[in-house]
Amino acid sequence: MIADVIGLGARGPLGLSTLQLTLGVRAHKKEPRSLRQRDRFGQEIGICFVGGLHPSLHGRRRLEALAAPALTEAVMDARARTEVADDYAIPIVLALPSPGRPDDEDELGDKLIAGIREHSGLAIDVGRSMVVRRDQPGFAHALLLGAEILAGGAPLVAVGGVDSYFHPEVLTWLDSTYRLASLKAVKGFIPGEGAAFIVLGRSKNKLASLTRVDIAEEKSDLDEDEPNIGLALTALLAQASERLGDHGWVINDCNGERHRRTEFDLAGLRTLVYDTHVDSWVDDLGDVGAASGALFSAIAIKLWQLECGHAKNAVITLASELGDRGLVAWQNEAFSEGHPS
Amino acid sequence: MKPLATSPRQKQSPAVRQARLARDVVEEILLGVKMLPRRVDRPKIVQAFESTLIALTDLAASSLDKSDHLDLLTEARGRLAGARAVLASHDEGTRVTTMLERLRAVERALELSREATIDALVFVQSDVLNAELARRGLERLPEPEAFGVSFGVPRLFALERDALRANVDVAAPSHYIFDEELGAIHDPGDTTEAFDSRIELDPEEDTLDHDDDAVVRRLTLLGGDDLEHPGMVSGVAGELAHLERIARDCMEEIGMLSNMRRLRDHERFRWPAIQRFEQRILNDLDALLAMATPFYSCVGHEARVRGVDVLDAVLRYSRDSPAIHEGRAFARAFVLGCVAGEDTVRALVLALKQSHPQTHAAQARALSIAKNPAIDAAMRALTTDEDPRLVALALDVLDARADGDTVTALQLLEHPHPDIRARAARALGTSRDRDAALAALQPTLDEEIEDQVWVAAVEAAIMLRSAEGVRLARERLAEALEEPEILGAATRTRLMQVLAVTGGAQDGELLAELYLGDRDAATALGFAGHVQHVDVLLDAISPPTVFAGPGQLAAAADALVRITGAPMQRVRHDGDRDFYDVHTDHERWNAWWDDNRKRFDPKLRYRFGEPWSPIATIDELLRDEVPHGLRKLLALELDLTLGRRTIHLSHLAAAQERSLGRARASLGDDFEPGAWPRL
Repeated sequence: MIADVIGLGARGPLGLSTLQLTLGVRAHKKEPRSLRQRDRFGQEIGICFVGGLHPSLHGRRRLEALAAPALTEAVMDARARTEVADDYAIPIVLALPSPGRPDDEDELGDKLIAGIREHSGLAIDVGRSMVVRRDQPGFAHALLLGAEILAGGAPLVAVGGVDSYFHPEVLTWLDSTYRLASLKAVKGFIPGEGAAFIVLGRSKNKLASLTRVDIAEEKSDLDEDEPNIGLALTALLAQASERLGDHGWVINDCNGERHRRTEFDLAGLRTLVYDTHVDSWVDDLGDVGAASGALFSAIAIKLWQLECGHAKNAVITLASELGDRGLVAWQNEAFSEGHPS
Repeated sequence: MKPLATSPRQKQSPAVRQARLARDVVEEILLGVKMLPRRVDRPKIVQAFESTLIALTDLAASSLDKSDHLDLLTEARGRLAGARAVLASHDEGTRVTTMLERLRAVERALELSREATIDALVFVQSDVLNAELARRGLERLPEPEAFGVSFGVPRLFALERDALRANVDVAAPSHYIFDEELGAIHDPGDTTEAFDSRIELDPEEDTLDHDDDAVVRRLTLLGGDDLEHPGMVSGVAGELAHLERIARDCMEEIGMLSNMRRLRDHERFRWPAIQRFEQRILNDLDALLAMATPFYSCVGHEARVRGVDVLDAVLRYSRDSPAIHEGRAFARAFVLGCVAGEDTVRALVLALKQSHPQTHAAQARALSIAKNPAIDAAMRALTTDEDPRLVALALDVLDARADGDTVTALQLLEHPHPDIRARAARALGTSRDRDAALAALQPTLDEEIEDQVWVAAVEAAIMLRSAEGVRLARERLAEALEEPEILGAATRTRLMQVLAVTGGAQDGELLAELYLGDRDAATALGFAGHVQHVDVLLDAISPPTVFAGPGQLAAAADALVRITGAPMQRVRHDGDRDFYDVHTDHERWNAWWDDNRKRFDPKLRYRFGEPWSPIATIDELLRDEVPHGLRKLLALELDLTLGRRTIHLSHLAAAQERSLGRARASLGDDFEPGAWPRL
């Protein structure tokens, strides 16, 4: 076991707290809304957005507004479960989109952490905080860094992710490569946005345990001549299976893009048993990019807390367009099979 | 803490009693505001009534040991006078005059309670002081309840919220009102009820609908623009608007799915599919109420905001329907009925009273499964309503909730409306005081002329383990052999079913004589389980068949399988046999019966080839793919043979499964396999 989960905080298109979001996902309340912005086919672009943020709020300021309340919720939750002082300055490790996107800016990480601190009013240990800019698998990297901070003596660390595709130039960029789902591009994805944090530490009053984090590289993703047959993801799932037993519950980040689904299906065919419960919450939330790992983790742990998790182990698979693959495994020792999910 | 014997809490204040009555009356008067002419100042009236209701609620929640008890009484009386003055400023004819008279009467009653209250206060004064000190020492603030979710059945949610008060629709109707006369109890399937247009019209008003809201609604439909989506407004307003949108989705799905939950008689009950389907409704309920929980706002700085006012939202949702909408009415009753508090139940009852009768059945279904325990008392109170449709609804809900209160039923046995009398009689069948219930039913059994009431009384008597009930059913059926016109088809079928599941070996002949090839009678024969009926049923499927309709042949063949358990099921396209789809080929049947006749003992009662016991009935109810119509008959069989209400088919599948499991476990060795029911 790597660390205990002490607190959760999340917000996304289906709710503004972990509870709301989780039950919104459980009830499949997905509802993409149309924007005035149109795609290359002249159709309105659909997006799953988070309420309370003006359409003109883009980029770093939008990420701040998404992340700050999620972090506040997670820290308040952790304070209620531990005896850490209220003025303890918590270090944060944050997964962000890879550099080079149209909404990128210089020193995004530093500015964002400072902005989150200012926006939330929380005591944040800026010196030990850091960001990981590797899209979805960035959350796996962030957890490893968070575990190092804990090993260095910090009682708590908040590991999270935030992302938003609600940006005119980002949407244009996605459209230019046919990645937006529409009536004429059905294999694209519906963009979303969100943020989540998991506060890690050590406590008897834990919500779950972080049991495994693995990272790999899918080399075929970077080589156009090489077919992607999911070797890296297969290896990640197989290794985790050896350690954790059968995967009772796997949450993927498949977003509707054909190559992502094919890769997961191939890896799943080789490694998952027939009754593995597989969730694809992008179907409910839209693609939440670098926030995926943290959001899915928060939702899975909340489902356990509400006694409607699907298995003792929850394994989250994460993939980026740049060859990175990540796997995160959580465990709820108190899980019982008693309830229908 | 164990209450002291002399605790002042045990002596109720006369003012409290009066306040509770006054609140009911004021709410009723408020419901009447909708029918006043358009020109009356509704907001002003509502405001006056709302403050009155708040004052009355505070007084009703108070007690003799509260230091401000008399002040609350004074306040309530003052508010009543204020409401009366506001109403009196509208000189609007007889309707307002009647309202004023009722308000004055309430005010007077409250004033009269003052002296009695003062006497009571003097009487308990020393106890009040002692109890106050003891309570302060022991008082603990309640822990906030963790948010849980629903599994199989809804949860009772405790929300951080303000009390609901006087949330009724007083908007003037467009150009019609519902019939105010006491009409027939409405069949929920009947959509042809005409509206009565005898509204008290204001001659200066145009009767056409110029409602501003309606105009806005039409414009929204035509010109929706998602960029103007209220969720995109910055800050808390946008956040709440966004959550409201999700909440709305949840409410819509609850309403829509509730409409799809009903089964027709021929439709199959598929346990896993129905449980998954019902869980979707519960997931929506959970998600909806989660939207009411607090969250940290994007405005930052640890700002924690209370979530959507879901209760207000669901009341609005049910009101802004452009048409009569059963789903919305279900959603309102179900959601309000699953939130803890007496105010939620008061609100749902007020809304129920204002709702269209066509939505009553949907609301009854919702209230039958909703979790708030205050619904029981509210339904008991509703049985005194002057509208028989509401009384019937309340009795249906009480029956489904297994309320166990039969005092109400006793009072309604002489109700002028036969539908009410029938429900009251049926309710008495579950009475714990067997002798008193049977004594109360006797006049109905002796003198009732309405068949449906009499049959309900017969069934109730059987539930109470009276042989008289079976004897009466037998006698009436025997009379019908001589004079068929004395029984309507529905009554005849029902009595045959009753005799089939509760009669003895001696009833085989009578049932066989009553069988004229019709479907329902064949089904009754199948349930009776007499071996001698096999030849009768074989004749029915053998040429020349007098009744050659495929439904009649199939019913006879089904009955044969029900008695003999012969493997005559047809094979489906997927290769499995459909238990409830049976061959009617007479040659095949006759050959099978010739080979198997000897293994049946004519002295025993059979079910699917095995000696019957109630376990067979329970197991069939637990079986997958049983047609709904058959499940109704199985439930009747179980009730009448066990003498208690075992399962209610309006309940959610998870609750039904639990009830059947309990019933099965409780049976023990009480029933000898193959024995006829003994009363």
